[in-house]
Amino acid sequence: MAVARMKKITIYATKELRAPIFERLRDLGIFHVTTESSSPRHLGVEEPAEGSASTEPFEIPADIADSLSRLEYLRDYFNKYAPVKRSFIDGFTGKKPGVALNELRRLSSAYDIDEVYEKVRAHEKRLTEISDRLSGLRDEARALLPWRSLDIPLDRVGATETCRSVLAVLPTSALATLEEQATGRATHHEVLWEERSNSGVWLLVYGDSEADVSSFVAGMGGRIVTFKESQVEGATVSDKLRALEAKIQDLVEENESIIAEDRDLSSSMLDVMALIDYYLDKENLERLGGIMPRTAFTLVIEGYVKEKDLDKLRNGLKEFAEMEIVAEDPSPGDDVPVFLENHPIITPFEVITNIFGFPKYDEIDPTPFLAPFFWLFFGICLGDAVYGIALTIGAWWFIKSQGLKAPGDKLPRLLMYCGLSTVLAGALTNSWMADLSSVFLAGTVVERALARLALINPIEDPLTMMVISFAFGILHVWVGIGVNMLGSFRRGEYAEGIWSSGSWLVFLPGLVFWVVSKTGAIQSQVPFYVMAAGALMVMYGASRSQKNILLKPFSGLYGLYGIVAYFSDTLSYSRLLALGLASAIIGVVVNKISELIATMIPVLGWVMVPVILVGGHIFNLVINVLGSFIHAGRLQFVEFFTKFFEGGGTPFKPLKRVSENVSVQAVD
Amino acid sequence: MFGGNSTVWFVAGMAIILVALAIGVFSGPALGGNGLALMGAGIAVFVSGIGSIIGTGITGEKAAAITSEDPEKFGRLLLLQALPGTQGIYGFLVGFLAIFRMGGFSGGLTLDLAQGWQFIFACLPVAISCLLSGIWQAKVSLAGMDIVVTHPEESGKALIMPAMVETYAVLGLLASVLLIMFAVQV
Repeated sequence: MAVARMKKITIYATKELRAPIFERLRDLGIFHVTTESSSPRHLGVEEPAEGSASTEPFEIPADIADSLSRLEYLRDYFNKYAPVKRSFIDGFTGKKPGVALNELRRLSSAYDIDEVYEKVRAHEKRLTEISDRLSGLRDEARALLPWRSLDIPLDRVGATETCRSVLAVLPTSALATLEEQATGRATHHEVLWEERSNSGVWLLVYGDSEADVSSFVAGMGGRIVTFKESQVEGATVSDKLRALEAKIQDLVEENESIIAEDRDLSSSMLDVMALIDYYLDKENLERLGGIMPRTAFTLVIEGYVKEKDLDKLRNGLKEFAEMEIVAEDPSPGDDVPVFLENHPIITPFEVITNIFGFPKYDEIDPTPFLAPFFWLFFGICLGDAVYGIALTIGAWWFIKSQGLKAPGDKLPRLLMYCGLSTVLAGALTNSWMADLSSVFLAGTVVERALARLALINPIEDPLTMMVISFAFGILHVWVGIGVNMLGSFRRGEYAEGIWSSGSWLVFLPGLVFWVVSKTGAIQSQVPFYVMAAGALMVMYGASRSQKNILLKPFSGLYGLYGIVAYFSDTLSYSRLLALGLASAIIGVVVNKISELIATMIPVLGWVMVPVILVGGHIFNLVINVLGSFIHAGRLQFVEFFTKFFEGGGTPFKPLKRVSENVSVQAVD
Repeated sequence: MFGGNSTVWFVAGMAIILVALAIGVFSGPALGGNGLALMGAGIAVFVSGIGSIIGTGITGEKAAAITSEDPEKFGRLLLLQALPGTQGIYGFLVGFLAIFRMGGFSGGLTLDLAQGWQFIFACLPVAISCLLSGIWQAKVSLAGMDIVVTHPEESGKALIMPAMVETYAVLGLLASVLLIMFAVQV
């Protein structure tokens, strides 16, 4: 129930064992490798004189880097055909497709990366060629298409012995005056196509030179069109178009067959993803091996293992003969990785602790202390029995349907638990989908039964609810101070614990009960004396570190000034009331609207009521689950943790198989 | 027009409140108590609304931009966008309570001028605190989105920081609710 005890491990082995040892450590999955490695302390004489043996730069072996880049290319290419779709929910849960370990081993030797890569490369190249070629052919066809009514072969257009014929685009307006403009030339033309502004003509001019014809055409604002490429003798425009069409058809078919083949290939997408992980894992082991300190013959691996896993580690590595494991307790200066170990009921609340950060190795794990308060505060903020039931069932169903297993199910499990406190808070405040029972079931048994469960109505009596909120807050703060005292005791600083924390635990309760006695609820002088004694303790505690005897009273008074912080901390818990009211009143609004609609619109109104009720309350639930979670969390971080918790520990991350794309399932 | 400068919207929201108060001062007798009270409810709803509109607006722009790069972050970004959206709900809630309390759901309103003013002032805490906190919470959310981009596993921290700003919207809500439920004499 706390931060797991760790053993510091140093493994000495001959250099040749590097790869097998790292692979074994990875498969064991219990060893946290320290990457910011200190210099090997025990090597002494074995260390080579130059002392720089451990700093040779690390390079990823070429074959791994090669395979990785090829696989990533394949992944990107296949993604066009078989995109990996991850659902919205998977984005939250981080669920990945599973691959059996045996299958992965088989793939790593059976899947011919190079062959597929070369094939795909060739395909990609050919597809680009086809696409370029197709667009060229299509442009050509598009240019020819208007001229298809020209029924003489294209190679006959041009000069004859006495005439010159051209295909020209002329402004449509110039057609009527073509003969006049010809001034002295004998011309003949046939309009092949006509549009609003331009027309295509076959123009025959008697005798003129090429230059004259073009200046004649230019003079009318037109231009001469030529089709130079692939002139086939005797082919008309229609013939040419048919030939182009056939070529296009061939290319399109080739294109389709390549794409079909790619689609086939891309069915191995999952294999590619799995192999990427396989090589990433290799790369990771190489990288770790590369930065471990070593001498000419010896390799040093430093890291941590949970104390209870030490035997597992020794057993797992015992087959390596030329190797020695040194296990020792961490020394004070070490950055020991932190793993939280709590009772299964408490474990989901580690989510809250982890949002803030991990405790340091020698710190107290705050999770068990915050768990009951978070649970309670969340319930008060959401505060509706039906919402609570919905949240619990919803979270339970989510865990089941997504097949989540510990520790991946912490957040939904937390919400599932918090749904229960919400039911509790809702039942005690008679909030079942807000005041639905008194709106639609007024006077029935149901309404009376639900009302009998209730202790308080926060909408009509918010002051009582506010006092309750403050009371929980005060208790929360006291527990925080208490944990701080516990921490001091654990470190052996008993005086510190009693005077800086314990004193407040006398003073604050004294103060609170003294205030209560002033209201007449308690008839006793005891709280006053407790408060006075506590105040003196606080002042003494604050003045302990002040060396100057004359300044000691002022240090003490300043210490007492700390009451302001506790006061504002306590006021912060009024948010419990406010958020509870917010969710209750929005619920009331939804009910009110559906009531109005039911009475204002006959018959049809009653059809709309369920829609409005369900939609409105789901909206309210979602908005307020977010709000309740955040504010219940904030009360832990700002009001609670500041009393005792520092955080900033390094999380325990044992060396494991890389699973970026797929999750590898070991099969025994 | 003002998209880049959220301060302008804060000033605009405050101007709306001042104009409403001026209308109350100069045309109070003509409006009557009912008119003043309803104006108060209106201020609570739409001045708080401005805070949330600007808040969810500017956070939504950035969320959409990040989502276009990395669609898987959508869920987390949506939460950050939703945070400055609660202010508008708080304002609506107070507006609703005010109408409820002045008898808007149970027959005619019969408020005198003094009661009308009481409703206006009871609505001001939520209006002003939500206007301000909506806009400034959005700025924290925007920065939090950078956390989601660079350290997705730390998204929880990005959610908590904007909640600090929201505290004051919650307190404004609480003040307005208490004023309307208990302080206003109907």
